[in-house]
Amino acid sequence: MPLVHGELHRLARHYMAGERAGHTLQTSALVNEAYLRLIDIRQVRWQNRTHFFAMAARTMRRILVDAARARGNQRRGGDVVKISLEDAVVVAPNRRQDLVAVDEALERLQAVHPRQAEVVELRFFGGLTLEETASALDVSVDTVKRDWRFAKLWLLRELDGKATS
Amino acid sequence: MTADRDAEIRRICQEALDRPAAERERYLAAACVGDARLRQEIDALLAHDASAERFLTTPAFEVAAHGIATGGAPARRAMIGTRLGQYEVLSLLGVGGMGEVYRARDTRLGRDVAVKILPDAFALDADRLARFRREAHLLASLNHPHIAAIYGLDEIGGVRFLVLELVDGETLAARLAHGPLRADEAVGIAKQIAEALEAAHEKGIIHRDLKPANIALTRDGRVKVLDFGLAKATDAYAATIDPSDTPTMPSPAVMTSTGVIIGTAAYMSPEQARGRALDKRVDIWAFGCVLYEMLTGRRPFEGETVTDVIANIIHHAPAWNVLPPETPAGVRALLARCLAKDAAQRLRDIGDAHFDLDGAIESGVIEAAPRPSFNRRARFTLVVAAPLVALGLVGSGLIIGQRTAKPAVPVYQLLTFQRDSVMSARFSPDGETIIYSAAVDDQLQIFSRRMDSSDSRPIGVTNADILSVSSRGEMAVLLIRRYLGSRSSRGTLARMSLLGGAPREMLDDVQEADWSPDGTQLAVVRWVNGRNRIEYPIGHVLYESDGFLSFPRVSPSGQLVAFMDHPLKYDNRGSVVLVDAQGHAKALTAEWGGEGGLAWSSDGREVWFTASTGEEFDALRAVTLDGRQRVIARAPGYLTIQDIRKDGRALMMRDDSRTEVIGLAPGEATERDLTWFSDVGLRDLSVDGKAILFTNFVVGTTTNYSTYLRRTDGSPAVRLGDGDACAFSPDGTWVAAVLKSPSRLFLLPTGAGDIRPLDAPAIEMFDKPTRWIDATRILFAGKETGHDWRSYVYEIESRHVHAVTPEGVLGRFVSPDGKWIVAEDPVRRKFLYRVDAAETGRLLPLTDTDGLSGWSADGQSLFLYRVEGRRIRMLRLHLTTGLETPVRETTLHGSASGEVYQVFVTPDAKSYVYQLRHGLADLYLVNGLK
Repeated sequence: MPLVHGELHRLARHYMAGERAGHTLQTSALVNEAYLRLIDIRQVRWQNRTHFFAMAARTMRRILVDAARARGNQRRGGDVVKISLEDAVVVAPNRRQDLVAVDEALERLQAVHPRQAEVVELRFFGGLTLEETASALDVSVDTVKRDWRFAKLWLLRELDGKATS
Repeated sequence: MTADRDAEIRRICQEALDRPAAERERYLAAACVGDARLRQEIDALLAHDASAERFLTTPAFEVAAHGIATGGAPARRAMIGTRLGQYEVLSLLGVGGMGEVYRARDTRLGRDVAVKILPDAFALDADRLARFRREAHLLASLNHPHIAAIYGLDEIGGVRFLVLELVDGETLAARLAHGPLRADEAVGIAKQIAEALEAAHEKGIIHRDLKPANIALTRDGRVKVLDFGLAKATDAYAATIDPSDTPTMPSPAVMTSTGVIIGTAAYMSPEQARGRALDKRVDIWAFGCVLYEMLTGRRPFEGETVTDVIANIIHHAPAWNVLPPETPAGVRALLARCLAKDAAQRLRDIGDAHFDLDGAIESGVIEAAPRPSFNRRARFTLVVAAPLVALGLVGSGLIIGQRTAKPAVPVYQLLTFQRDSVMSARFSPDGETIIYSAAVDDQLQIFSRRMDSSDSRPIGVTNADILSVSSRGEMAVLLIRRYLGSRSSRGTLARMSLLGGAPREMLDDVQEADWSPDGTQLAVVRWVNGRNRIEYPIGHVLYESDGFLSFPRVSPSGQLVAFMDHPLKYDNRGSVVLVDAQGHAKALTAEWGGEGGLAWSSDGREVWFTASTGEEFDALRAVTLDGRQRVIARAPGYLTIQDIRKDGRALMMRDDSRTEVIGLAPGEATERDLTWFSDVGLRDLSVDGKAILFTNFVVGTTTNYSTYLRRTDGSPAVRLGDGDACAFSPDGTWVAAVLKSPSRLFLLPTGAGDIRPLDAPAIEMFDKPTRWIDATRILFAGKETGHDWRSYVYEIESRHVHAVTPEGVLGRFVSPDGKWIVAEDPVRRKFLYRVDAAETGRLLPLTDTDGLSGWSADGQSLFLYRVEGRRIRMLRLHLTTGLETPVRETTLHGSASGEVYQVFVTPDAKSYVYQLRHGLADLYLVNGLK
């Protein structure tokens, strides 16, 4: 299903747009891995695009977190320069941006507030919009917004809590 | 914590957040009455609400991407207080996507600068570094009061760093955090930004990441645009749109309290968001965003996450009613033009914005006298036309000359109606007829077709390819014994009149030919002693190559021959070369990832050719005799230009080949389709028959191809890494592969582990066939300077390399005991060589049409394959007795002519795999190329 592959690639390019050299390579690598790790697509009937993205989000999460772990990009909170947020995107190596830490916290969230954790997986790892997330979970956009907000609070508390303990 | 309790906490939290902040306290007090712990829990959660807004707004992908970019390198805290040559590092300003930025003192010039350390990834990639250096040079030449300067690129003690202007002041973003600016202030700043952009655009530099965080306001009220870090120079002659645009420059630092910021989606133009090609109009868009934000204090396109923002950019208009009422009409109009979603409708030159802004300052009402754009140089604008042919080809034209020139839009007309395998095509002398060769039932035939009719008539000679049609109506054809489906076939050159008659043979071992303009001489590419060379006229050698040459074309003057030189024998990577009658040669282009197809423009000033870098599709390009290039047209697919006429009509072929991989897994009774991508090279079958190795060529991966593994039980293929796959190790845990650019040999683990490069300083280039001898030695095809390709043994631990075959002969398979190699020479004769002793090879009783498939487990026999019609027969050749016995047989299904490229058989003969290539191509007549 080359179209699907293209979708993933397009998603990846969004994220990588404006990034530095070498990323084209990495984008492809990441996307290819995601694509390949999905169930053999010829055997699955994708209900619709959103269903696919839900699967992709899960897979993407595994891949990105595995990659982050492999890179050893885990940092102890506090030993790097704290850069305050001006814009939507920041690269400041702190626990909040540590994919492995976020992933672990998300797992714990899943145990307690499953649907809220799912929203995070779809939006953060899968890049789905509010509408797409609502469609994938079969709830209203408002519900997604509330879940998203709550989930972030919960995760932040987990992450900050672990940093200080 | 019970589930109920958790659910309760969540409910109360969400209800609290639903309420306005003022009411929250009251609600919480009521909801948690009597339960202090509950209230504590909830308070602890709500305490994070302020920072929650910006948490997880960067998609995980991007976070991962940054992780990859920085390579996980720890911040070099130790840098502070040290010296980098003449620079004394003072403090850390921030960490960017490409490394750390420090404030430093230039002790030689006595000023403070910003120093940006480049990550190690750079140092390891010579190509990237060279590109980076060129860009740094170009950006350093931007000398403008409103552009932060790049002072230099240095390397001290292994640390590479950029030295940049340190700007003292605050960013526009910081200013805007306090609210919108006054209209006159906003316009004043906008004018300065416009000037900076204009200066950069003049030099062909696009900023690509303009936003308030990249605009600094110095204490004396001056604007400095920073972070031309994402700028990429556009070639002023080619206006090339490179879809794989990747910026390489890091950002200069701004000394602010907020530090360094990178990459936000909010200022991305629709075409950037779509991942499409970019030109300077993305800056115009961003300029509009910045102006809007200065006036309103809000961004024109916002959203909770990057995805939401992008959706808004592409689909929604900004809120125009939020602009302050005193905003002059001219500025409103300017904003509307800058934020036109369709780049074709957008303001094209930032210089034109001046007038609107000037007028705004003075009176607020704009008079519409257009500013004359005086331009001494030729201007290039790319126009993309709507698909004209049902197949969805996109034509593009190029404007050369004055502004008033109309864009030329090429029209593509499909000439072949079925899915033929067109090989070559030429115009007849009067241009009314097209002569082309196509494969029908696995036989190559030559046809002629008048332009005004849709019937093709066979010329009457089979197993022949059309090479050239002279101005005198004579054809040069190539008589071949077997249609190989690809370019490097060879045969006998013959001449034949267009009017009919039998072909008269002229010369053997010819690959291609082209008539001189007067039709009296021929330039030929032929094979002599295993080397490819150009003779013009026949007998007079002008050029020789170790790889292969293609598309010889005599210039309209008859004095020069242009052609393509490919360093690797089975790869269409190459460059365009020009040679004169005395044999002086000059390369007109650098090496392209893939090219094929060449023709002279009718005035002899340019050579037109089709090529790509491998990362995007082919484009039809032109190069002048002094090496200046431009793009003429692009279309999806692999294009080959065949012939051009004076009136600008051209014959273009679009290759649509597909490959199939079919295999029989061990223990199974029927074959399985193992095809994964449409264009691959099957490279190996594991000894146990359970896995195959293949290389993915599909455009859009990297210029170096990708290596994949797939189990023959049908489970999904796994990408192992970059490179052209060669072979499995005997135990299947490693794969040997080669990188094309730079040329390297290395080992990829099939499971977890690191890539292992195999360095051999004496070897200039590496390629297939490369096989394992045993766990410690690899047989590879290598080329030393001054020698032809041959096979070498590489000892992995000691890195010792020694040649094992004579020049020109390449080892294809190694016996299971690691003692013998079966090799082929350029005419496909097969020989046996010993790995350990330098002896002459033993010639085997096999023909050039016999294919090698492997060794038997006992090392006594070779496996071969023969294709007969639709059958593939796999045989065993016993090496001592010379007896051939059948091993397996299979029939090809499917309709179109498929050519068997490679068959592998396991040593136990229990499984096999083969690759088919369906060489489909369409021929187009293209009008309007300029």
